[in-house]
Amino acid sequence: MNSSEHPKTIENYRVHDVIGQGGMGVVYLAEDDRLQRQVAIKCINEHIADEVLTERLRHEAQLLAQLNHPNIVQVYDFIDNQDNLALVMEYVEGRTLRQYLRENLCDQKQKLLFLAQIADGLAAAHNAGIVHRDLKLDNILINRQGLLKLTDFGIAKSQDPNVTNLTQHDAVSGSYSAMSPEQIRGEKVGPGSDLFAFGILAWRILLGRHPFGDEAGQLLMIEKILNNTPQRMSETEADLPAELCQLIDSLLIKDPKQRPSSASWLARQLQVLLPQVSDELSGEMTAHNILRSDFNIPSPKVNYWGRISKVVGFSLVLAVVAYIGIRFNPLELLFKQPVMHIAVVEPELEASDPAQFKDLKASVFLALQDGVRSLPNSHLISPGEVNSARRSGGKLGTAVGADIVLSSQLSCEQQRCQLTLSELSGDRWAVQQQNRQALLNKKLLEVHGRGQEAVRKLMSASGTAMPLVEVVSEADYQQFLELKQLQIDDSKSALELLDKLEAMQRRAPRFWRLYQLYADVSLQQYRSQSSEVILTKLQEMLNKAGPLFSQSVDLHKIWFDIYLLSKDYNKAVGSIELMSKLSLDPWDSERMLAQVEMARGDTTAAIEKFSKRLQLRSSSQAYRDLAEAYWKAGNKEEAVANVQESLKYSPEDMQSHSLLASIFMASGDFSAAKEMYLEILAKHPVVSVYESLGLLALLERDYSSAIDYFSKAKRLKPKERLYSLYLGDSYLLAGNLQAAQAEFENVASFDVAEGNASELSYQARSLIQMGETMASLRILQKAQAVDASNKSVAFASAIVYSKVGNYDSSLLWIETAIDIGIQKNWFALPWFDVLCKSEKSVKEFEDITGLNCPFSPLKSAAL
Amino acid sequence: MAQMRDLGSGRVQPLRAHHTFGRLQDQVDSCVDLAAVSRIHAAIEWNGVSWLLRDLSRNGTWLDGEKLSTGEPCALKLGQKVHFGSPDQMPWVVESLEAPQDILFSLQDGSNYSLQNYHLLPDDEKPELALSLSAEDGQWHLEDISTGETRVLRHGDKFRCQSQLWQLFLVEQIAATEQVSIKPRHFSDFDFRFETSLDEENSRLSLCTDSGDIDLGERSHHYVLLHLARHRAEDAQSGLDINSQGWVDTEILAKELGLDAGHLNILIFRARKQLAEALPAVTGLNKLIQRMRGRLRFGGSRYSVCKGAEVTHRLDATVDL
Repeated sequence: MNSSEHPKTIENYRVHDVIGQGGMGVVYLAEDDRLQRQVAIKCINEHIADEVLTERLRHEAQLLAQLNHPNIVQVYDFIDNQDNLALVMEYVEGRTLRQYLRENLCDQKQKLLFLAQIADGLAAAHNAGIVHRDLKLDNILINRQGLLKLTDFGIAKSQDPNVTNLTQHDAVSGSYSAMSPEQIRGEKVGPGSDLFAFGILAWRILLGRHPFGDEAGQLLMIEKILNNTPQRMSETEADLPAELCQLIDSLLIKDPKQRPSSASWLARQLQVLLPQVSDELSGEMTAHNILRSDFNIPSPKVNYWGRISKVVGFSLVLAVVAYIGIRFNPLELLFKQPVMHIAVVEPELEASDPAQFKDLKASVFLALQDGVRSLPNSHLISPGEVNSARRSGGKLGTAVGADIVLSSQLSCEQQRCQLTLSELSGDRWAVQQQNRQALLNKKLLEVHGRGQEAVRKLMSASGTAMPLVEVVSEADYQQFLELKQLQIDDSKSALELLDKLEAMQRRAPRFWRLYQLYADVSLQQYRSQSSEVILTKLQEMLNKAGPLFSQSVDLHKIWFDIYLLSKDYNKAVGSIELMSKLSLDPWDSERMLAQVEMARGDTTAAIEKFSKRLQLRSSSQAYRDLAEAYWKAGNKEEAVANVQESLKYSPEDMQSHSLLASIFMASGDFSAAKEMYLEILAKHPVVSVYESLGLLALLERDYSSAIDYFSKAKRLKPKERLYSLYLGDSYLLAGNLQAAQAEFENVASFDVAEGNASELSYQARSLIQMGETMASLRILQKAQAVDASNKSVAFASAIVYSKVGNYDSSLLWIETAIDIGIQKNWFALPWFDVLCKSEKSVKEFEDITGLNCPFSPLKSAAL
Repeated sequence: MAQMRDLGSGRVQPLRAHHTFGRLQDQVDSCVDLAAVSRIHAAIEWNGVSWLLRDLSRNGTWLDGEKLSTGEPCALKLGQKVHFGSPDQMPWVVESLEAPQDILFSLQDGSNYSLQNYHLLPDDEKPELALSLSAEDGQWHLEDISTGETRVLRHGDKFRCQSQLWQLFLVEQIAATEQVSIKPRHFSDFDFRFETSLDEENSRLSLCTDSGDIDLGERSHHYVLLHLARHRAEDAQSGLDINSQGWVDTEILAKELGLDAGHLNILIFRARKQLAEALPAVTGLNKLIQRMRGRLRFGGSRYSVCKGAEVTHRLDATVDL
């Protein structure tokens, strides 16, 4: 871009780059500094900006500002000043659907998915009373995540009769070949007109041609649209379901009254038809298609359903009743297929030297999961959820709400293993079927392929799943398995791992698992350190995967997590909608929607959604989710009741116990909390429990127990500086200055990344205890500059300022800390005794924290 | 017009505004038939400022020996080498990076011509065909000058003119088809001002617009328009209704002007061509001279004719065309 020709700023937007340049003007990529988001600015050339165009653009801005839908490009602002006439819009990083279809070979399922999204966007516009009037491939954008967005409502028209009709003077605006007969005749144009255009678009997308025959000049086309009967899609060679063809044919009826009644209806029909359409490419080759969603397999020819249908028969009847209650639609009923929820348990390994087979076992575990993923109408229950349920006692299948549990044994000796795969289901989780497979501990990819096929065979699925060997080399796969099994407990090793995965991505961009691992590690790091850099890097990584995995629900789930963490709730909801079209199980989508409500702080909506979800099926996690929502809403009774419900499913679940413990802790019932933690400790000697017990001991001023717990925590996670810090504090309070000094020095001497606010705050806390006041204040200042709303920073600030005798600042930081979510009771820790003891601060300290000075753990139980 | 050269075959490939490469012949703009090349392997597109190369493939695309990361656009520079599928294949070289341009391609000798708005073929002297970009529908129309037959040409369409076989190469810029574009104007919205010398040897035409006058200079074809304009103004003067004004039999007109019918036709097309070039977004030019059953008339609705210093004819009518 030649910087002299283009402005550096437009109003409050900083111009970065030119996205496109055409006859009517320039589209810029710019940054909105206030809201920190990228925007696209469509600037109209001065010399063509006459009154009509200005009015039209203003009109477009007004219409679209009312619309907020993931399938419509959001308009933010309209600029009309001396220098510019411009529309400020959501920046869609991607291309037009026309370009996309030219660059990618899409199967019919993907194409139908596009149509379903377009129909959704149209339905939203129509519901807001807006008719697009120029629906065509060039006016639909597709972003890197595969989300379609309608744009260019330049000649859109409001159905509201009070809105001045700007487009009357050019009755024949729009693209001729996508116009409805009534639009061509200059008659009243309604939503039906967009449906006609949708019909033409469907032909273009599904068959690559025009229903009225291919363009022999625009005038002739108009003639044909007005007078000819289009070819019927049902009479073409297209391998599409008859219902779909009839649906499209009905859109092209000349009389708008005889077309389907609304875009919403159309959208629902398409949704229902989705499972019927093949995701096989017509023609040769599958391996070359970069767009093919990972591990999808040919459409089901269901003998596996015959067996299961007995089980689901009853629930189907219920579903029918429910449907009639709402609106009877036989088409929708016919194609609702039940989804089997399958839990895969980590294989049990029997071998004299288990270490020798750990990679093989990891490979088999992945293979079993991938095998389930490849099954039609099946849903793999999140391995994380299964894993935590497995360690929590109770019936695993019931705890995770599974229909089927796949368990497996590997018995290995020398270089041979026997894999026994069992399918468990029914009330008592009895073995229904088994099969066996011999494996050689040599090529791990081959092991994966065999494991995957063993699952498919057990489940009587036809065909084969895509073997991993097509996307990754043996060496990379082996490295991946090793990386996946690494324990990541500090940021340095996490960054090293991410680097290795980045290198692997360049060699094996189609190996989706590496993106998943990358995301798991990045998100874990982000949660513990909230470093924006990590999140940005993750987004970059996913963007590299974007075009390859635009249809992969797993990848979109990662995007969802990112959006949720970065508080971009509209995008989060958008990604849920997209995933729902791609075959996200409602059980998952309901949870995600509720998570968004939780993050938004709308606990009432979250409680409602989590409760509704429990009517579908129940699981330990589902009750715990509800408990957390109640707890966040301040309803302790319901929270406790639901945790207890959750504990019925997995009696030893750590998260439920922890939740219960923190409920007790926050309500000041320290002895109950302590009891709870000790109970967890008996089953799960994990580091966070030691940490909690250590803090409880500090609250009780029991320093020797505190030293004991923090030492154990530090032993489990030696690189975690926080534990050294706590340990130092405990030694100091116990009067062991030498040991304390050693721990503080340990914390202070670590290299801390500039952007890591939490770790900087630990250093400040160590330095202040070592008597290095200035150094401590300097580092604290740095930490505050990085992220003043970080809980650790606020907490450290309160400690450091109280230590240097600046009680007012300390009190202010305590206030801040409470605002950002630190429980008031933590200020009963010994560091704040000084505030209790000083006459200057005691009153305000009591006001802010609600604690009574001098603090005693027994007294606080009354809180 | 931007172009690349395939060093393997030596062929030169002009680039479309969005140009795809790959193994799948009927899906891509340039077929690269090598085993290592994906069905749709890479795309080059014009963003209004520069040309961007994007890899879409399984095996990769290399730009000057550097492997591109999949899906990431990379701006092309002159002389760069592009390898599809493997860095060991013969590369394609970037030979030109001009903005995309519709061209006419000779299938005999490979020569090509950049297309503007209006072309007379084989040349302006003895034209047989008129190739014009219609401002109404944005498509190329090919018209036979002697018969008036018209057809729409699309990318890749071929036609013969005398012994030459031509092929149309269209870049199809997406940006140019933006809905909010310059509002096209009909030629009859302009005020035509004809001036002719006292001996009527030299005729000049200028058009009055809101933004000033456009001088179309002295041309012999202006006299044809002027002559027809006079007929029409006189008919209007005598009270004929708008649809009946100004029609002159082609043969009589030819005689009046001392031309044969073929030459008359050519002059009409030259007039259209000149107007199309002077007014890029003008519509309705095929009605500049209207035809009806062997008769012709001037299609303008606002004009004046000056002979020497005197205005001899004037018409101001809103004509229902």
